[in-house]
Amino acid sequence: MNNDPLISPQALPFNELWYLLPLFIAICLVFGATRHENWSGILFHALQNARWIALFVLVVFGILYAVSWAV
Amino acid sequence: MSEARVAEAEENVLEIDLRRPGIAALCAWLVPGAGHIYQGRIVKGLLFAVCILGTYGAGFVIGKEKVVYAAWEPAKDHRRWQFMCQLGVGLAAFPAAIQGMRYRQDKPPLWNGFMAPPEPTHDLNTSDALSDWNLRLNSAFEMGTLYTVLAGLLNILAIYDAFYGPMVETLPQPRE
Repeated sequence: MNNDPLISPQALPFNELWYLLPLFIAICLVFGATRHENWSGILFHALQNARWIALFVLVVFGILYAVSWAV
Repeated sequence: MSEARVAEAEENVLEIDLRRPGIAALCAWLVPGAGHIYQGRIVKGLLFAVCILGTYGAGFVIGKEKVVYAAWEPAKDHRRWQFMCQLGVGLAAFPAAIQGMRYRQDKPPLWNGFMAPPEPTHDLNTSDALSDWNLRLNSAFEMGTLYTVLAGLLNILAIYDAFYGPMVETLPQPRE
């Protein structure tokens, strides 16, 4: 087994949720860019997507939180 | 559909010169954003390049260069289905494809094992490379895999855009 001292068992220095933020931004921008040609349209669509994805995640979080609280 | 939405949809119905869509799609696959730059859609090309290659590169770094490899050998219980998605980024995943082919032909890996698949083993006395990576990288292996897989999938959208142009909302047809 390679015991590389540079790589610790806790390889992610930040909470995993922080790593989802850049993905969230990239997905919204690329998705918006596949529907518009101009910057204003792309950003508008990206913000709309961001709002819907955030709402979806919050709803799922709320459901899971309620289930965990109830059980 | 509201008037604002109709106006927005009309605004998006643009005449876009896609040049040779097949070549643009091929370029978009090989290097994210290159197809759009070939078509003269420079800003979109740069946006795709930054978002997709940035995501792929970040995943590659997070996963300590171990997360992109090609292996499909059911006999050895070794299937890396994620590579099919990672291949969506084109040239950046080609070294893994070359290493995967050499692995299937039982040839030694090139480039000091860069992007080479891990050697699986069922012998308890020897170290399994994949288990070793998972142990040492911990959740970074999954996170790096997620980033690189999503980059490949996002580039499929970009390839579609290079071939067909933007997906424009269709205007409602007037009722007779």
